[in-house]
Amino acid sequence: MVLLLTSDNEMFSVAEDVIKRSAYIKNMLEDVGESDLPIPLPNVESNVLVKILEYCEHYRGEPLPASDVDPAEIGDRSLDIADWDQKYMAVDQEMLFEIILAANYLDIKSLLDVGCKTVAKMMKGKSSEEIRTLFNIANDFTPEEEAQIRKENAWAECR
Amino acid sequence: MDGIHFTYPRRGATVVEQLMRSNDVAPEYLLPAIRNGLATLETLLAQRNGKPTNLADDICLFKSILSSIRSIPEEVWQQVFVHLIDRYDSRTLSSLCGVSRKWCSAARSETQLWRYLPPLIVGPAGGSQAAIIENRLDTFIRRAGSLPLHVDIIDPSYTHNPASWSHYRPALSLLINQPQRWSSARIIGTVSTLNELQSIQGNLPELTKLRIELHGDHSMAHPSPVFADAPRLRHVILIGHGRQFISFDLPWSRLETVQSSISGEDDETYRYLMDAPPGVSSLKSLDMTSNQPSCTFPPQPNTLPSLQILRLSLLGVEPAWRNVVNHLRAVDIASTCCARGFQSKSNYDICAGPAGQQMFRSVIQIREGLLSMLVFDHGDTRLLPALEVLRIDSTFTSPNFSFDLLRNIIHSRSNLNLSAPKGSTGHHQLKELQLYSYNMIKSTESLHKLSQIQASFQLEAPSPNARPNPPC
Repeated sequence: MVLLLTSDNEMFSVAEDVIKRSAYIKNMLEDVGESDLPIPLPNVESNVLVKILEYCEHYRGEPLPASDVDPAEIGDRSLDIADWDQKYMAVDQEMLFEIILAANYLDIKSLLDVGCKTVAKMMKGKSSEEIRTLFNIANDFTPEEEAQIRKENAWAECR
Repeated sequence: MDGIHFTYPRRGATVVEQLMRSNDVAPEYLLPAIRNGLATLETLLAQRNGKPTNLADDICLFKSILSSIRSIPEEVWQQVFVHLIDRYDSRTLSSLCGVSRKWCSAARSETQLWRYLPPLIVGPAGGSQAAIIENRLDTFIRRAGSLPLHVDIIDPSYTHNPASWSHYRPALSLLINQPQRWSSARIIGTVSTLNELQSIQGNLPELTKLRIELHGDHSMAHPSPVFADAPRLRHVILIGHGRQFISFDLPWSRLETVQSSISGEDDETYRYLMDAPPGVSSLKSLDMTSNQPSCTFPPQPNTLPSLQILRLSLLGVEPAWRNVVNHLRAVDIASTCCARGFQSKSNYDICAGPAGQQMFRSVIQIREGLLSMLVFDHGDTRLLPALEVLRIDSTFTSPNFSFDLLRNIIHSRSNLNLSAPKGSTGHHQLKELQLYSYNMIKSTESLHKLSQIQASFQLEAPSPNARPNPPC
């Protein structure tokens, strides 16, 4: 078993084959070897880790994706998401981004990919303004920058 | 209490306001104050009991500061963006770049988003369009870094206009100066358009997909050699709209999928594909529509070890395609392993019309033991020994669907047929019958007849929403 310590000081005891889906933990275990000390996860809160472990548990035993392959190069850029993954990702927006951040930090490529696809699906077909509203993003362009962007994006109008 | 006044956490007031206007991550020391401020605002909002207030906007701003979306690193956003772009899509690119500074920076520096180049459309001479296209292409090519490019060159005019081309040649130069980066290409234009590309010949190491669509009535003097030396070319679509003779020198034996629709004279696609040395062909799928397909005569035996799909639609008069039909008898599909050949069972999908009917009969004679699925429009009711799926597609070809035919087929449920091929054993049973007909569904009389058949044989009712496949 592997001990994990979240940022809000909760301790989790997890089966090694479950948490090895995280390349970050896997490498750490290989580097450090067996230890009774918990692995600190200062960027992951306990409620997020629970979700992450649910994912790892579901895919327990399934082959890990090759670590040296850039997902963008694999060629699967479709927005298709497996049924279970879709249900898993049916969370509020804040949790969705927490999962993505944790997947990125823990280096769980398949989960990060599902998260990115989920966000991409939410954005598909939307204008800049609609995306800002959707994700509560501030328009931080200066008026000059905005004018420049509009000029550069003229290709969108003259197709 | 109309004049609600909320004081921002004093120590960091300026910083908080800045955070609200930006998408920066809040510094750790400010988080407790922001959370407290948010809680206060929510309490005040609750006390308003739904009365109009701007508090909700302030709450939204505070929440945005605390949102984890601000912590998402640029490379993760890039991974999200890559899922949105799988072709040239100016509107999506424009949307991504226009959201925020961070997104703009992430999108501009993600090379994958820019390798689908905007089409170079050769318009009339004069005006500023040529310069705009050149500028746009330059931007995309620069941002694509060193990635392979998807190139799109379109000359919509029916005759070559040298004045137009001279105007657009600087933009074209951006493309033809680096053919080694072409990964896929779509060329639409006249025979002369291909001539404009001659300098790329022999320098296309990355090209895997090619679509050439030619219009106009200028014939070629000889096969165009522009794409002859493309060692990785595998997927080709060739379309000739006019009556002209067009022909291409391509690495035919390496091609895996070929789709061609050439209405001009002496279409050499079939001959080039079949002339590959026996067993060498990589062809997996051939979907060909032709008026006058040329074919080596007398038919030469050949082996197509990888062929899985063969769709031939021969539209001209019978003498024009007779050689091709005869040649089918000499083509050995998957002969390297008989068992495998039998398991993979090639599908023949033959289009309608007199040529199709004749083809249909020929192929049945040749391949009756291998066919597992057969698609035809109407008329021939033979069922074959290995046939498991029969599709009758009368949607586009036969407005009057033959219910007697249907009755016979359903009644037999196997190859109890009207004209069984010689040697058929009748051991296999038809497992699936697919009916495609709008008319059948639209007509009340047809639906009545169908419901009678349905009642007799306990079949599933056709769905009024069912849409047939497009015609071949």
